[in-house]
Amino acid sequence: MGVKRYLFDSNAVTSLILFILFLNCSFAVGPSARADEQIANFAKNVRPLLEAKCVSCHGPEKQEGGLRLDSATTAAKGGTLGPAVVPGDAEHSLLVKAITFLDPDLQMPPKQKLSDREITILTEWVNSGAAWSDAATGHDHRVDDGSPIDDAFSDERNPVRRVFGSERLDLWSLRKPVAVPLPPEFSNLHPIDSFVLERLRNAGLEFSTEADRRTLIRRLTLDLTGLPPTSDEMAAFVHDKSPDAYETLVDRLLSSPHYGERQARLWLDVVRYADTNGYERDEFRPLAWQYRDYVIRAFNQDKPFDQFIREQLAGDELVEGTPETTAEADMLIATGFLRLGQWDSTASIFQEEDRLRAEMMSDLTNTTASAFLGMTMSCCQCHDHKYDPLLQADHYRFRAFFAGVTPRDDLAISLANEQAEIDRHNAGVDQQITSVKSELESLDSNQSESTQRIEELTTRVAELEATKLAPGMAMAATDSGPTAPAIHVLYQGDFSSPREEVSPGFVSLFTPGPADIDPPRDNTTGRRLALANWIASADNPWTARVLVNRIWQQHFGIGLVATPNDFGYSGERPTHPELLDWLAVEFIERGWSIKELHRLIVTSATYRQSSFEDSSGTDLSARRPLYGMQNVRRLDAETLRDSLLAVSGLLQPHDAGKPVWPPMEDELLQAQPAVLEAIEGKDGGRMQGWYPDSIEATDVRSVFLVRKRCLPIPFLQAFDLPETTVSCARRDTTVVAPQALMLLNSPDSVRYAQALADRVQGEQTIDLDDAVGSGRLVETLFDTALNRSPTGDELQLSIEFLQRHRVQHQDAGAEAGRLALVDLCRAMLNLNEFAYID
Amino acid sequence: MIHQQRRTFLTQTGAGFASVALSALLADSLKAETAKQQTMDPLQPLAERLPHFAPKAKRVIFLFQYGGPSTFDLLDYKPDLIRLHGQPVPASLRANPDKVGGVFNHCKDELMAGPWRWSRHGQSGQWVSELLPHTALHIDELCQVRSMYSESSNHAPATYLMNTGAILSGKPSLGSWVTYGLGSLNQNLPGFVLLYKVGGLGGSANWSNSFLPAAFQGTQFRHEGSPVLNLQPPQEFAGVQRSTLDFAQTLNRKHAAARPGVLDLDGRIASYELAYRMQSEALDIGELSLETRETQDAYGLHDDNKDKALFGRMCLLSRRLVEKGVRFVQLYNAVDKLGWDGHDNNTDYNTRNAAQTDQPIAALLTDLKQRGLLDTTLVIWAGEFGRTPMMQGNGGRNHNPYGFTIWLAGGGVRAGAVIGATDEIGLRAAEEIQPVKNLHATILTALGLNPDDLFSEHNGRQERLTGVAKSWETIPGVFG
Repeated sequence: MGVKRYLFDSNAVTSLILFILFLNCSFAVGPSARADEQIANFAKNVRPLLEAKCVSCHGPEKQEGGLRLDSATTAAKGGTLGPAVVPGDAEHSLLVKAITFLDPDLQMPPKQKLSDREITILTEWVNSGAAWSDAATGHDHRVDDGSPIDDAFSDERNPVRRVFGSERLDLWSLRKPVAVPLPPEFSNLHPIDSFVLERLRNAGLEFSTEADRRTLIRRLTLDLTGLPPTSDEMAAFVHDKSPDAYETLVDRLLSSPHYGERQARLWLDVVRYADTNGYERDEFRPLAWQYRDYVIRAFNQDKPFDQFIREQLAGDELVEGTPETTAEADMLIATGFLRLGQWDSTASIFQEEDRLRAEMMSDLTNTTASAFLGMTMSCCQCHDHKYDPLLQADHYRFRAFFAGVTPRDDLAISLANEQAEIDRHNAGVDQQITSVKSELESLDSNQSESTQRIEELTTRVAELEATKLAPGMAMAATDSGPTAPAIHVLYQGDFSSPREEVSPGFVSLFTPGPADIDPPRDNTTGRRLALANWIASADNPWTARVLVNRIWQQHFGIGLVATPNDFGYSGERPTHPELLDWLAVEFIERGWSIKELHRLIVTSATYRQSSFEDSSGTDLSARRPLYGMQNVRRLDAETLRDSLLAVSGLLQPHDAGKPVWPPMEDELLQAQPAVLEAIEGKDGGRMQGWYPDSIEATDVRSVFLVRKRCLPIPFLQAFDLPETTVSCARRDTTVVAPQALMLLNSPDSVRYAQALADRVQGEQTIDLDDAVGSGRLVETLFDTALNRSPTGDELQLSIEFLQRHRVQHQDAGAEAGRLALVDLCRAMLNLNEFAYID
Repeated sequence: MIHQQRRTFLTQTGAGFASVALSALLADSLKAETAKQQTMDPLQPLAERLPHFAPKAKRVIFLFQYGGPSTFDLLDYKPDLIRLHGQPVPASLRANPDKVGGVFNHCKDELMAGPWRWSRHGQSGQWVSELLPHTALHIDELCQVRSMYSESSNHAPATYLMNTGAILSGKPSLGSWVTYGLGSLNQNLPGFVLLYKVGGLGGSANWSNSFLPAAFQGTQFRHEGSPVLNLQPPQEFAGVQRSTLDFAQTLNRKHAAARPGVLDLDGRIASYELAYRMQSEALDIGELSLETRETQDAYGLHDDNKDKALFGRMCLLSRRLVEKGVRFVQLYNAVDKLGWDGHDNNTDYNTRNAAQTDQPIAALLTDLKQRGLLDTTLVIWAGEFGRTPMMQGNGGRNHNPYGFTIWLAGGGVRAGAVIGATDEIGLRAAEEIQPVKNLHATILTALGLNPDDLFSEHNGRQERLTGVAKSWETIPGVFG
């Protein structure tokens, strides 16, 4: 009897099952021989199936027929009919009997039979010994024989080993990065180049030529500051004959305030920053911008990344009392990180606070793990991780670090001396108020001659109150006190089904026991600082790698690990693991300095290669992934808009403060129920609306524009603005027709083209009959918009274009030449060359 | 769809990426199955793709009922509620086993029947309230599911759930998933079109493509004026649009030719041509004057009730859109921020919304049928939840996620069927209880898509409209 035939015949299930049932059991491997593998099979395939299909009726909630299938003991014990599972013997296991539907009186699940594949999984599992590992809970790391349990690599009692076996422990990112010696034959090269060239040579390839200076300064300026170079900057660099002209340029750009603005924008993606709450009301968060400005400052000051981590996760635990320095004030502002998730302010109306709190805990856990560790904690919220060595309990152990987090809008961030000044001033005001009030009390309101005086004095009190100073506040967070509410493992991630309580703990695979946490202070558990210190440690295998990979991605369009928020099994493996590790170690040794990291990368020959020269003849699909060529990259939404503003001369200086609200189509506002409520003045002061600034005030860098969760700015949204609900590791760069419509036809785009025409025209009168003058206009336009001169062909095409369009606009009389120039500007701003970095 | 997604991603950077990496090692049978699927061409994201199996429906019109309609005042006849009008909630139904909270606290302990007369209609003899005289004529076409429940009592989470499969915002919407899976039938129009005056509570997250490529984002078609925002250039550029584009494309082609292998550059050149073609095609669709006066009147376009005329325009536009090959059209009925959300004076809300929507929806069903489109067009009528049989405030009804009715029509569903039931007062789904994910699974199945095989890898997770694999079932009885 051929087995193969049955595998392809879905109608022969019964026979297939019988075949499996009566196969000699020696086919099944004994439990001792491959225990790890079988435990892994159970965790990956069997338990999810039992939980999805059986446990709702045979579990903690209900025990139909007296049966529970949520632990080995209860499954073996069985229900009223007898043992459900006889290890190694599917034929006598009621579970298998039930799922195969062979017995008309015992068919489970009753509503819908399992698929053939599922039946096979369970049958084979029983036959191979029904290996079972209890769901990983907070108790799994308990020391049961007196000796502490070590990491999963060295101790087979580690719960990760017990659940998954050792199969998942060869994940590349679990080992601490070690800097391998640089390839000796390239010792004269930049270290990055030695790693890259070694791989290239092995593939029979070499580096491409270095990009020309115009390309280099454009690429570097856009990469580091998110703005294109000006004509003057271009000219200065192109004509700089000094040997270190490039290094000087790098220095200049790293010290530019625009550097921090650009870097902050990318970090804000990672931490899902927005200025509003989301959900039904989507209220404005009036102080969120302080976190944005903090991030800009942190990058511009080159705050060491380990400190940056501690401040965001636990800034409040680093500061005692009123901040004494701006650095301390920044630590409080940094805790805005803990507040950035969505917030449904209407949840309380329907007693959904528990759901909201659970969502907040889950969001903080998932975002922190993605942002700093490249670990997908969201995947082990309902069950053990499907691919990585993370237990369901690990998700909740991680949550427990955040258990005490309490939103705070009343934390003063004014410094101690400012606070004293404010107090002194207010005390003076209070004194005056007291004296006014005493006069008030002396007056008799029944006497008509007093009425006027009473009015005056009452007004005076109000006036005085208004002169009181208020300290600066931040959108911050602290713990609710020295203790925190209990965190439980949630059955299938459901907040209404709590199971075992867990203590704060790092991933079990490294440290299965509870985390060491310093004794709590009056107002805080100290848990987040313990977490921050563990993350911001040179010993953490993920933190430095994840960050250097993000910075690498910024300069090449793709990371050494192509999935920057997933360093697990389902993510990509590093293309250049030694280079990644070398960079990570170097980054830590250089004091976690992000500016030094940028400098290291952009001064490499790898970075400075051309993106397209030498592209003929060689196999690009081999060349590009080995970094034998730079990548052509599209500007992201903000960089595109900022570039449009910059080249058209509209960009307004602006470097901090409350978000700027651009004008918004009325139709889009009318379509938002929450905004309508605000327009009608019925939002109870919750700021659900849209509060546009004047159009001139709006032409600022995009990082300063308001990010309203339920109403993204259409121009930016068209160019792949990410959702602000979860961490975004990498912008999409899709190419769709609505982008073309936006850049051709939107009122903003037309305005940019007109401004560019103004700028190019300058003081000149446009006379298209003057060949020299027309040529000069075109030269200026190319220089301004593309940072280069037109080729001879382009010059001629452009001049012909201008003359043709002047005819088209002849009805406009004297304005025709100018309208033709606007048309040309409009074409230029729509060029691929404008929207892409070479 | 993991393979196609990676491919997109690679071409986007211009970096070919040979490493198959771990995916092969980890390939479980699910991933192996998806290898059979057609890959998505990043330059033609809307190109038509084959479904996983033979579909019953080719396109969808989703008539979203904003605010939560009171479905037992419309279709789910509850004589006991009428009998118990003014009485407290029966003790047997008072105990609150519901996970989702809050509903009882805001209501009086007093049942309230609507004032409308009910009568039987169609061959199936089903009860329909006098609020829906036109829909009643189509009752034999509808497949009603009277036992839906939602997972939040609150508008935004429940609206997200109905539109994206999750109560948290940030997931791709149903329309995005469908066009991601199937592409569209007309390359000159968006594949997923929205029609609304006031969109759903919770904003644009309800029609977001989220982590799916932007080609699958919902595009709003306006019911008046230029049908798509920025579709046409300002007047002064109208005559020079082609010539301006030609200049840019000449330079673009030279630029792309110097950079072989960077497919994005070719894609962007193509996107400008598509945008240009879209200008004329979309304009044509918006030309409702091309319809006969009879059709216009059937949809209520000239009705004195301006709200009905508006919704009629949306319904007529939706037929014109699917006729031209748009895969997924979604309408939001509300004209203000109130919709069906009748916390006070529910009678008034029901009267207004029924008057606005009943005739146009009936006209749409008639029109689709006459044109032979109904068999292959799945029409969905659903709000985010229902309302309480208990009175709230002054004659109002509170949100009720515990049990409500939706209906499907066309697209291979069993005409005239009634599936599931609420309890005797319409408070909770009581028979064949259906979560929203089952509705989504049913819709995908009608389109020939296996809900488990329609996924996208995001932040290390296989994301699906219907969540964890095999955690859903199609609503039994919808397909006969």
